[in-house]
Amino acid sequence: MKMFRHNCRRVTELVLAGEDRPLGLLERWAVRAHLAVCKACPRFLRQVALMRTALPRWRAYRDGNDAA
Amino acid sequence: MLTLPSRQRYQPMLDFAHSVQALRPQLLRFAQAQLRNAAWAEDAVSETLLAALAKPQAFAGQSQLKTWLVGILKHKLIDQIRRHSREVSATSAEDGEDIDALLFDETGAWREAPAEWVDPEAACGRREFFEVLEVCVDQLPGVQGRVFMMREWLELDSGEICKELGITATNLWVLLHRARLRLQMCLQERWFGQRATVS
Repeated sequence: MKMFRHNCRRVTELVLAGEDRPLGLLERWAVRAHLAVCKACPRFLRQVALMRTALPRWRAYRDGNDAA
Repeated sequence: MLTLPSRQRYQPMLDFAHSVQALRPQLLRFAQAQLRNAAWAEDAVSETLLAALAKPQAFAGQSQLKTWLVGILKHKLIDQIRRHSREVSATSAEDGEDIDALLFDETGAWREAPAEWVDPEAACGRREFFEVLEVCVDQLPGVQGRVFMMREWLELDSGEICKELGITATNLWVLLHRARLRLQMCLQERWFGQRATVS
Protein backbone atom coordinates (compact mmCIF):
# COMPACT_ATOMS: atom_id res chain seq x y z
CA MET A 1 0.00 0.00 0.00
CA LYS A 2 2.87 2.35 0.85
CA MET A 3 4.17 2.29 -2.72
CA PHE A 4 1.02 4.15 -3.76
CA ARG A 5 1.37 6.82 -1.12
CA HIS A 6 2.51 9.92 -2.94
CA ASN A 7 3.46 13.32 -1.62
CA CYS A 8 1.68 16.55 -2.58
CA ARG A 9 4.27 17.50 -5.17
CA ARG A 10 3.85 14.22 -7.01
CA VAL A 11 0.06 14.37 -6.76
CA THR A 12 -0.18 17.90 -8.19
CA GLU A 13 2.08 16.72 -10.99
CA LEU A 14 -0.34 13.90 -11.80
CA VAL A 15 -3.39 16.14 -11.46
CA LEU A 16 -1.93 18.60 -13.96
CA ALA A 17 -0.75 15.81 -16.26
CA GLY A 18 -4.36 14.67 -16.33
CA GLU A 19 -5.22 17.91 -18.16
CA ASP A 20 -3.01 16.91 -21.08
CA ARG A 21 -2.94 13.11 -21.16
CA PRO A 22 -5.09 10.30 -19.82
CA LEU A 23 -3.82 8.99 -16.48
CA GLY A 24 -3.20 5.30 -15.97
CA LEU A 25 -5.22 3.23 -13.55
CA LEU A 26 -2.49 3.19 -10.89
CA GLU A 27 -1.95 6.92 -11.25
CA ARG A 28 -5.64 7.64 -10.75
CA TRP A 29 -5.70 5.32 -7.80
CA ALA A 30 -2.69 7.01 -6.22
CA VAL A 31 -4.23 10.45 -6.69
CA ARG A 32 -7.52 9.36 -5.16
CA ALA A 33 -5.79 7.71 -2.20
CA HIS A 34 -3.80 10.86 -1.51
CA LEU A 35 -6.76 13.21 -1.88
CA ALA A 36 -8.67 11.21 0.70
CA VAL A 37 -6.11 11.98 3.39
CA CYS A 38 -4.77 15.39 2.32
CA LYS A 39 -6.37 18.71 3.26
CA ALA A 40 -4.43 20.92 0.86
CA CYS A 41 -4.48 18.98 -2.42
CA PRO A 42 -8.27 18.83 -2.84
CA ARG A 43 -8.18 22.64 -2.97
CA PHE A 44 -5.58 22.48 -5.68
CA LEU A 45 -7.78 20.00 -7.51
CA ARG A 46 -10.69 22.46 -7.34
CA GLN A 47 -8.45 25.22 -8.70
CA VAL A 48 -7.57 22.99 -11.65
CA ALA A 49 -11.26 22.23 -12.19
CA LEU A 50 -12.02 25.94 -12.25
CA MET A 51 -9.32 26.48 -14.86
CA ARG A 52 -10.84 23.71 -16.95
CA THR A 53 -14.19 25.50 -16.86
CA ALA A 54 -12.73 28.96 -17.35
CA LEU A 55 -10.44 28.32 -20.32
CA PRO A 56 -13.09 27.47 -22.94
CA ARG A 57 -15.05 30.55 -21.80
CA TRP A 58 -11.91 32.66 -22.05
CA ARG A 59 -11.44 31.36 -25.59
CA ALA A 60 -15.03 32.26 -26.50
CA TYR A 61 -14.67 35.69 -24.90
CA ARG A 62 -11.44 36.32 -26.77
CA ASP A 63 -12.59 35.15 -30.17
CA GLY A 64 -16.03 36.75 -30.13
CA ASN A 65 -17.00 40.30 -31.03
CA ASP A 66 -17.89 41.26 -27.48
CA ALA A 67 -14.20 41.43 -26.62
CA ALA A 68 -13.64 44.28 -29.08
CA MET B 1 -15.80 49.33 -74.07
CA LEU B 2 -14.86 48.92 -70.41
CA THR B 3 -17.13 50.50 -67.86
CA LEU B 4 -15.98 51.37 -64.37
CA PRO B 5 -17.92 49.68 -61.59
CA SER B 6 -20.52 51.95 -60.14
CA ARG B 7 -20.10 53.32 -56.63
CA GLN B 8 -22.97 51.13 -55.47
CA ARG B 9 -20.98 48.13 -56.56
CA TYR B 10 -17.69 48.84 -54.89
CA GLN B 11 -18.92 50.63 -51.77
CA PRO B 12 -19.71 47.36 -49.93
CA MET B 13 -16.19 46.18 -50.75
CA LEU B 14 -14.72 49.34 -49.25
CA ASP B 15 -16.86 48.99 -46.14
CA PHE B 16 -15.75 45.40 -45.79
CA ALA B 17 -12.08 46.37 -46.15
CA HIS B 18 -12.52 49.05 -43.50
CA SER B 19 -14.18 46.68 -41.05
CA VAL B 20 -11.42 44.14 -41.58
CA GLN B 21 -8.74 46.79 -41.17
CA ALA B 22 -10.34 48.02 -37.94
CA LEU B 23 -9.75 44.62 -36.34
CA ARG B 24 -6.06 44.62 -37.21
CA PRO B 25 -4.76 45.86 -33.81
CA GLN B 26 -6.68 43.17 -31.98
CA LEU B 27 -5.48 40.44 -34.34
CA LEU B 28 -1.94 41.70 -33.89
CA ARG B 29 -2.27 41.48 -30.12
CA PHE B 30 -3.50 37.88 -30.39
CA ALA B 31 -0.71 36.98 -32.82
CA GLN B 32 1.88 38.53 -30.52
CA ALA B 33 0.47 36.66 -27.51
CA GLN B 34 0.80 33.37 -29.40
CA LEU B 35 4.13 33.89 -31.18
CA ARG B 36 5.89 36.34 -28.84
CA ASN B 37 7.77 37.75 -31.80
CA ALA B 38 6.74 41.04 -33.38
CA ALA B 39 7.96 40.28 -36.91
CA TRP B 40 6.26 36.88 -37.12
CA ALA B 41 3.09 38.33 -35.62
CA GLU B 42 3.11 41.07 -38.28
CA ASP B 43 3.49 38.44 -41.02
CA ALA B 44 0.68 36.27 -39.69
CA VAL B 45 -1.71 39.22 -39.46
CA SER B 46 -0.81 40.54 -42.93
CA GLU B 47 -1.40 37.09 -44.40
CA THR B 48 -4.73 36.91 -42.58
CA LEU B 49 -5.92 40.26 -43.89
CA LEU B 50 -4.81 39.45 -47.42
CA ALA B 51 -6.62 36.13 -47.32
CA ALA B 52 -9.76 37.79 -45.95
CA LEU B 53 -9.77 40.58 -48.53
CA ALA B 54 -9.10 38.12 -51.35
CA LYS B 55 -12.25 36.14 -50.64
CA PRO B 56 -14.81 38.34 -48.92
CA GLN B 57 -17.54 36.07 -50.27
CA ALA B 58 -16.28 33.40 -47.83
CA PHE B 59 -17.47 35.62 -45.00
CA ALA B 60 -21.05 35.74 -46.24
CA GLY B 61 -23.36 34.10 -43.77
CA GLN B 62 -20.89 34.13 -40.91
CA SER B 63 -22.31 35.92 -37.90
CA GLN B 64 -19.23 37.73 -36.63
CA LEU B 65 -16.44 39.23 -38.68
CA LYS B 66 -13.99 38.99 -35.82
CA THR B 67 -14.67 35.30 -35.21
CA TRP B 68 -14.15 34.61 -38.91
CA LEU B 69 -10.87 36.55 -38.99
CA VAL B 70 -9.59 34.90 -35.82
CA GLY B 71 -10.31 31.54 -37.44
CA ILE B 72 -8.11 32.48 -40.41
CA LEU B 73 -5.47 33.95 -38.11
CA LYS B 74 -5.18 30.70 -36.17
CA HIS B 75 -4.22 28.85 -39.35
CA LYS B 76 -1.68 31.52 -40.26
CA LEU B 77 -0.21 31.32 -36.75
CA ILE B 78 0.27 27.58 -37.10
CA ASP B 79 2.08 28.26 -40.41
CA GLN B 80 4.39 30.70 -38.63
CA ILE B 81 5.04 28.23 -35.80
CA ARG B 82 5.91 25.56 -38.37
CA ARG B 83 8.20 27.95 -40.23
CA HIS B 84 10.08 29.01 -37.09
CA SER B 85 9.72 25.84 -35.03
CA ARG B 86 13.33 25.81 -33.89
CA GLU B 87 13.18 29.34 -32.44
CA VAL B 88 9.64 28.85 -31.15
CA SER B 89 10.78 25.95 -28.96
CA ALA B 90 14.09 27.47 -27.78
CA THR B 91 13.63 27.64 -24.00
CA SER B 92 14.82 30.55 -21.88
CA ALA B 93 16.27 30.39 -18.37
CA GLU B 94 12.87 31.43 -17.07
CA ASP B 95 11.24 28.47 -18.85
CA GLY B 96 13.69 26.19 -17.09
CA GLU B 97 13.04 27.56 -13.64
CA ASP B 98 11.91 24.85 -11.20
CA ILE B 99 8.61 26.33 -10.17
CA ASP B 100 7.79 23.27 -8.06
CA ALA B 101 10.71 24.03 -5.76
CA LEU B 102 9.03 27.33 -4.88
CA LEU B 103 5.78 25.61 -3.99
CA PHE B 104 6.98 22.41 -2.31
CA ASP B 105 9.62 21.63 0.31
CA GLU B 106 12.18 18.80 0.07
CA THR B 107 9.68 16.26 1.37
CA GLY B 108 7.21 17.20 -1.37
CA ALA B 109 4.78 18.94 1.01
CA TRP B 110 3.21 22.31 0.18
CA ARG B 111 5.21 25.22 1.60
CA GLU B 112 1.93 27.07 1.79
CA ALA B 113 -1.32 25.18 1.26
CA PRO B 114 -3.36 26.34 -1.75
CA ALA B 115 -6.25 28.65 -0.90
CA GLU B 116 -9.89 27.83 -1.41
CA TRP B 117 -10.98 29.97 -4.34
CA VAL B 118 -14.15 31.75 -3.40
CA ASP B 119 -17.06 31.99 -5.80
CA PRO B 120 -15.26 30.46 -8.79
CA GLU B 121 -18.45 30.13 -10.80
CA ALA B 122 -19.08 33.87 -10.65
CA ALA B 123 -15.48 34.60 -11.67
CA CYS B 124 -15.82 32.48 -14.80
CA GLY B 125 -18.55 34.67 -16.19
CA ARG B 126 -16.80 37.98 -15.65
CA ARG B 127 -15.01 40.05 -18.20
CA GLU B 128 -12.58 41.38 -15.59
CA PHE B 129 -11.61 37.83 -14.72
CA PHE B 130 -10.76 37.07 -18.34
CA GLU B 131 -8.71 40.24 -18.52
CA VAL B 132 -6.69 39.13 -15.49
CA LEU B 133 -6.32 35.66 -17.00
CA GLU B 134 -5.07 37.27 -20.20
CA VAL B 135 -2.43 39.24 -18.27
CA CYS B 136 -1.35 36.05 -16.49
CA VAL B 137 -1.01 34.18 -19.79
CA ASP B 138 1.02 37.06 -21.27
CA GLN B 139 3.39 36.86 -18.31
CA LEU B 140 4.27 33.20 -18.88
CA PRO B 141 7.87 32.63 -19.99
CA GLY B 142 8.33 32.37 -23.80
CA VAL B 143 8.03 28.70 -24.63
CA GLN B 144 5.59 27.97 -21.80
CA GLY B 145 3.37 30.75 -23.08
CA ARG B 146 3.52 29.50 -26.66
CA VAL B 147 2.74 25.88 -25.84
CA PHE B 148 0.01 26.87 -23.42
CA MET B 149 -1.61 29.02 -26.10
CA MET B 150 -1.20 26.27 -28.68
CA ARG B 151 -3.01 23.90 -26.35
CA GLU B 152 -5.72 26.16 -24.94
CA TRP B 153 -6.27 28.76 -27.63
CA LEU B 154 -5.30 27.07 -30.92
CA GLU B 155 -6.76 23.88 -29.41
CA LEU B 156 -4.03 21.59 -30.70
CA ASP B 157 -3.58 18.25 -28.98
CA SER B 158 -0.31 17.18 -27.38
CA GLY B 159 0.73 15.06 -30.37
CA GLU B 160 0.24 17.95 -32.81
CA ILE B 161 2.20 20.38 -30.62
CA CYS B 162 5.10 17.94 -30.28
CA LYS B 163 5.11 17.39 -34.04
CA GLU B 164 5.05 21.10 -34.91
CA LEU B 165 7.78 21.99 -32.43
CA GLY B 166 9.87 18.85 -32.71
CA ILE B 167 9.86 18.30 -28.94
CA THR B 168 9.19 15.15 -26.94
CA ALA B 169 5.95 14.51 -25.09
CA THR B 170 7.86 14.61 -21.80
CA ASN B 171 9.26 18.05 -22.64
CA LEU B 172 5.81 19.30 -23.53
CA TRP B 173 4.28 18.02 -20.29
CA VAL B 174 6.96 19.71 -18.21
CA LEU B 175 6.31 22.99 -20.04
CA LEU B 176 2.53 22.74 -19.68
CA HIS B 177 2.85 21.65 -16.05
CA ARG B 178 4.92 24.74 -15.24
CA ALA B 179 2.66 27.02 -17.27
CA ARG B 180 -0.44 25.80 -15.44
CA LEU B 181 1.21 26.15 -12.04
CA ARG B 182 2.31 29.68 -12.86
CA LEU B 183 -1.18 30.58 -14.04
CA GLN B 184 -2.73 29.33 -10.83
CA MET B 185 -0.18 31.27 -8.78
CA CYS B 186 -0.88 34.37 -10.85
CA LEU B 187 -4.65 34.06 -10.52
CA GLN B 188 -4.28 33.53 -6.79
CA GLU B 189 -2.22 36.69 -6.56
CA ARG B 190 -4.17 38.90 -8.93
CA TRP B 191 -7.72 37.70 -8.53
CA PHE B 192 -8.65 35.24 -5.81
CA GLY B 193 -6.17 36.58 -3.25
CA GLN B 194 -7.74 40.02 -3.66
CA ARG B 195 -11.06 38.58 -2.58
CA ALA B 196 -11.95 36.98 0.72
CA THR B 197 -10.40 33.52 0.92
CA VAL B 198 -10.79 30.73 3.41
CA SER B 199 -7.35 29.75 4.69
